[in-house]
Amino acid sequence: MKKRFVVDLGALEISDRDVEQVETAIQKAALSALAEVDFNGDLVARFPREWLGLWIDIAKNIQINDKEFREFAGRS
Amino acid sequence: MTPQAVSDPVGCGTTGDEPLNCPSAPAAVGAKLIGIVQRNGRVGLFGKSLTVDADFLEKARRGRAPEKRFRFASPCLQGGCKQWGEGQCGVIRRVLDALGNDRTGAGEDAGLQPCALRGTCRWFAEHGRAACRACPEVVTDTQEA
Repeated sequence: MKKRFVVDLGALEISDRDVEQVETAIQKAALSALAEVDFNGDLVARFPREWLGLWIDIAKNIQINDKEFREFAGRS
Repeated sequence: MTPQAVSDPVGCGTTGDEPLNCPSAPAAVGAKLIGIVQRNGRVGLFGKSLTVDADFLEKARRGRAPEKRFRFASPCLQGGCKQWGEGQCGVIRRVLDALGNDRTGAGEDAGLQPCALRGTCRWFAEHGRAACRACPEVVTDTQEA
């Protein structure tokens, strides 16, 4: 069963901006309610316990090479 | 499959011209909330993503790590991510290797969960439906607390 929530404003004549504000408010309310959800589903062992997601490589993103990094860290 | 947005994604309603997104990103303001880790450990994916705001993040961080409980998406950083290797995402490659074809249903044409991200998903762009079948099995952070 799909979990969809509909706010039906019928034939109400409101601006696109107002519609957008209502949509934003609904999303905010949904987010707020979901924020505390915790089913402990991650405890079901499936893969080796690790970080399976985006992992920012700081050195690459600030465009420095290993040599510069070692110098910065005081190690030659 | 070439790692780029596909022109005819499965049931996503997008053009495929947008940049690719990582479907297993850290929680951050502006990231998209795309699913919740359910009791059985599988991720229930949303039909439409929600954009994470500061209030959500503040509230979510009061509990266990959000990445243990939710799945988020944000733009794929490719080589700027430590998971990137050999021109593709190392996460979904490892997951598919671990699950094997029997779990990913390779070659089958079974229905997929609706997904808000599919049209711009890095994993889908690289591995197609096999990635979609494996995706709900992935919890971003399974490290010990």
